[in-house]
Amino acid sequence: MTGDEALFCTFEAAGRLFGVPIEDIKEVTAEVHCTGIPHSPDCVRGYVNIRGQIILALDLKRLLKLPLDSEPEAKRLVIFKQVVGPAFGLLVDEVGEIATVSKSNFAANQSVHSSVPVHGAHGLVDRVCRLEKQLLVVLNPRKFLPLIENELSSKSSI
Amino acid sequence: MTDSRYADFVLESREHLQVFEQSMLALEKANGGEVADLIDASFRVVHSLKGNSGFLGFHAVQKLSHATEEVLENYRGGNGAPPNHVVELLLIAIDGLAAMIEDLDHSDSHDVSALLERLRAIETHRTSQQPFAELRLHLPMPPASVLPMLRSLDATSSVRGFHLPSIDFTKHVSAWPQLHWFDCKLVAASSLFEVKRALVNANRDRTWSELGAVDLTGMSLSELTNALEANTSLTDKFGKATDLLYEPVDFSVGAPKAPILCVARKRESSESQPHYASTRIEPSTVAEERSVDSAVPAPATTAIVLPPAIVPPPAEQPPTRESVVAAKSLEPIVPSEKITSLRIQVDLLDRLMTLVGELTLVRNQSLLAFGEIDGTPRAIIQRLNSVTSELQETVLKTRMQPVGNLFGRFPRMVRDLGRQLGKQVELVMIGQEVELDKTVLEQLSDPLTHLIRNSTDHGLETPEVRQQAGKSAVGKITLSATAADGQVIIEIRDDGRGIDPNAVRAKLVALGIKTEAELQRISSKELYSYILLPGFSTAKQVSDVSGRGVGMDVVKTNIERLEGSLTIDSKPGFGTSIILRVPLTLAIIPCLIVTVSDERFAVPQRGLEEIICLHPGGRGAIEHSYDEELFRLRDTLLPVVRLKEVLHRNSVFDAATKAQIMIDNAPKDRSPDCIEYILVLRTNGRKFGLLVSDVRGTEEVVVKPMHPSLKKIGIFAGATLMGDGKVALIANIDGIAEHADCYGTEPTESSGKKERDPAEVHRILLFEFGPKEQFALPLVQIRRIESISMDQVEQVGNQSFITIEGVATRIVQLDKYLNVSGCESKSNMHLLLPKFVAEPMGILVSRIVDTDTLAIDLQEASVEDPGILGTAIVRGKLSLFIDTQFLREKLFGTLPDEAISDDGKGAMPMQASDRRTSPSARPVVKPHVLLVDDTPFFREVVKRYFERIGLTVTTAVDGIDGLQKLDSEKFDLVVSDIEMPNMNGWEFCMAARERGCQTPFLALTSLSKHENASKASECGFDQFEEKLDHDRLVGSVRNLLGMEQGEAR
Repeated sequence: MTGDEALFCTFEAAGRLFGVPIEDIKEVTAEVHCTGIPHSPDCVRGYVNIRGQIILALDLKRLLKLPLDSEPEAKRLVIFKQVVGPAFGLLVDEVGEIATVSKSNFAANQSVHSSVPVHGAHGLVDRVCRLEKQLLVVLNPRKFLPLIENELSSKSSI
Repeated sequence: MTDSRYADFVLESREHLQVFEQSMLALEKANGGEVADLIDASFRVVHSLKGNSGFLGFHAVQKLSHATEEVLENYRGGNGAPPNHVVELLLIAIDGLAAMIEDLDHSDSHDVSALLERLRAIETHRTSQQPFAELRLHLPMPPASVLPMLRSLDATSSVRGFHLPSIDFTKHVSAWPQLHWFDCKLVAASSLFEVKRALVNANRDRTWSELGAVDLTGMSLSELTNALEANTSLTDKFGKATDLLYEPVDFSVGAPKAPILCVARKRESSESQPHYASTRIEPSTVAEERSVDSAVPAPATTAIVLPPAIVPPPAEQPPTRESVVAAKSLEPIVPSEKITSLRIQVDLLDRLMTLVGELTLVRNQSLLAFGEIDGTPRAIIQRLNSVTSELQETVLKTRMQPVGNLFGRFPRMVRDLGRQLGKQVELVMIGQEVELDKTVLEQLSDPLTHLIRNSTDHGLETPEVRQQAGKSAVGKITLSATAADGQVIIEIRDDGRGIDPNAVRAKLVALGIKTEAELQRISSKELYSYILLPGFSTAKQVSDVSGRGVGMDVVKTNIERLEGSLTIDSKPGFGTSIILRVPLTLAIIPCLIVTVSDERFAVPQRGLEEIICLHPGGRGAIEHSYDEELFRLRDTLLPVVRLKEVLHRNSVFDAATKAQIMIDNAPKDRSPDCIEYILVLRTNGRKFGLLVSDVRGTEEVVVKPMHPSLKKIGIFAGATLMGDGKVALIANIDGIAEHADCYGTEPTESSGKKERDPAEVHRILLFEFGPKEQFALPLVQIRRIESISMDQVEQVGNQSFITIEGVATRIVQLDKYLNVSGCESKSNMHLLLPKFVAEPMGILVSRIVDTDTLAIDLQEASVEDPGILGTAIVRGKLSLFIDTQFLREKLFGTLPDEAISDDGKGAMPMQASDRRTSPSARPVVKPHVLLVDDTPFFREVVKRYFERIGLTVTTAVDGIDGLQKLDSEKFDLVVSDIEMPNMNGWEFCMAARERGCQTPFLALTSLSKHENASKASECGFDQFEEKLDHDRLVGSVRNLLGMEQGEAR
């Protein structure tokens, strides 16, 4: 990888292509049993056991408020490194290829940000990159957990 | 801290200082021999501290520790204990060192000059260091091993720079390669033992052990030297790998007058038993001792007793007393200090825990994968299974630390506090070896500190007040830890003024918490529980130590955060006792696994009191008050919380929610075959029922905390991995109660009378055999319940057997031995395996009715049957309590005599036995036993045991009753329960002993023997036995009465 290129792990959800910086990812695992956590926000799918470690699984579609109807249930869990946040991962439909994006490419696209139809998820989307066939929405996984905490505290203050 | 390199130094220094402080405090009470050990111990740690700080360049620390070391030096080698002012100064020095160590970066800026000056002032009085004598010590090992040993001497710091403080090793260096001895100088007071001990301590690999002996009685030092040398030749004869060991000799008083024994033990003996040989060398023959040949023919002065294996020509001397003495003298040997502990990063342990967790999962998966295959893989998997379990247990143990680590700081605190307050305090610590999880231990520190301060400040009176009250001037605080049922019970007991109930009452009224009328009705224990309320202090004035009224509240909160509990008991004028119960570990807790809507949840068992099964059309049902669902639990109304509703509604319940829940769960909607369970939970002073759909069983779960982002969810305490690898959530009972806005029944009941007075209440098992009767047996008497199929039962003659765990077990059909109805035949029955019965037997049961917790009010003899202890009404039904010992005797006839008359009074066996022994020597009088127990049930059971072996039994219900009976009658033996109202067993026994009662006392209790045996003997008990262990009890009683085994006078 040259200095002006960035690698993104891409995955599909609701037919769209998303990506996170590859250096944020610890591992990707196949579908696992998820134990729901009552009282947690919608986007929290529950706890999964990854080799003895309990990981909090978030649902990408619910997190981004993407349409859920007729979509197959999420199949893969993308687990993030500890530096991103403590023991959590993202449930996605399918993991795609590693996308290489040149810095100039996504720099040019930064202004597109506002045009991505994502509501109530400000800060989750970092930037949007134009790939050959479709757009790649680059997410900032560091914003996921704070969002959940906000949601929980706003509820408890009611 | 600027540098992580120093972290280890700080940790180690803290430990050193702690050791030092403990030794200093112990000095104040120690006697001669202990003093030397304590001084040595403190000397070693200060020396290490000096070395380390010098190495790392902390000069102020080094200087101060050096000065401290110099002072201590004067008291080494049996110079007696330092006077109090010196101890005081040393403690101040240690405080100075501690302060510097905690502030290492600025340690050099601390001004220690004043302190150094004071230390030096003491030091100038040091005794002269003139050589007292010179010795030649033989070391029975090749020089090659002596050298590293002497080096390690230096490393252990027990000896400085190849010097014992009193011995100069330097002279001999050149002689080493050729000679196996070296010369040492005894300076001032010293002892051979000290030299020896230093050597043994240094010799960490323990390859050499004790060996050949000399008697040094009345020798001059030159003679002594010779004797030691002579012994050299002796040991050479013994063999190459022998060792010398001398008993302590104090040369400060001149040459020894009593025999010095020295023991030889051959190291490389092929037998497992070491061979001992002892030699006694008379001073007059020392010269001759230079060779064995000259020693052997002089038996009048010298005795050498050697097993043939050691000395080829068998010694002719018969074994003499000396050899016995010699063997004994091995005991005081200080064992070599091997490194038995390591410092490990907690992170590493946590990582280890996680890995073990993973391994467990792999194990579980393998078990499933290989489940159907037989043969080799199966065996391998089973092995993996057991190793994994053991590994998990071991790793968990690494987190455990003895409470002594925490207790260690209190003697100093109590001492300083006592001085500050002008009180004399003695702190007694019991059970320091009890282990607790590290996290629990850390979190106990503050509450305990507070409680001990409280006891010292408020609890104990000043010496004057104490003496006026007829107590000793020295107040006593007992800090004890005992482990029981996965919990550790820590008790802080003082013998001070106690808590004045009237002051508490007045305060309660003043604070408007209770009215006078309400106070009339509450018990004293409940009254004391209000002390735990915020802002509550009965201290008349606030001192700088305690009394601000926030403390107890904080203590309680801290303890409850640990899932522990706190109770207070007090007797005005006699003291206060505060009992903390905390779980052994927070990492693993026993949980009940329940399901709701097919999801599993773990409910911690700590607060679980019982489980009620709700059958539709069964006895109980959920009823409604205006906004709450309630269940009639015996005579109380238990609010019921539906776990399902709690999980589904994520905002705290309000009136509308509750109303909706009641509509949703209207009784008519319930399908007729729906069975639900109510867990009766107690938490934080409230009691409520948690309704779940199913109970799967219990499991010890490893607690993982909730994800940090989800901490706000109050209804869960954490998560855990189940056996199948899936995650289950652990319920937070408190959080659930809060979420459901359920405040439960009055705290009065919740504080658990049953828990505090285990003697009064029993858990019993109710079961049926025939259709007519209901039987009962306390759970403590039951080992296990087996489900059996009647086709497995084999008949031998008219006896039935079944094989359980490879043991042919006799089946007791109750109708054969008791006058009760017979049983209709069923294919599946249950078998109760009783405890405390050595022979394999089981009681056949047709139906297990239930278990219940209740105070047994046993009615005697309402049924005329020797196998029935008595009857009681349980759940409205007459229940017969079975005497398992009677059945066992019927079956196996192990009782002293089969001829026991049916009334159980043992008249016949008594005569029979007297015929056997000499009737003339023994008057025909049955031994008279006083049995003191507050529980009617146990009183009856034990009385029967005794009567059956031919004793006359008088019973008393508590200590006070017991004392009265002791006054009016004469007894051969007193058997007393410990936990009793009014006057407990300890007090009873002490009171009886104070009155000069010489009768043997036997403590009979459900308390753990291990923890309480020493207390029992302190109080004057002669024996300590566990309740209901028939054989042991009977054995002890016979023993104390001087009856022969099996004899029934």
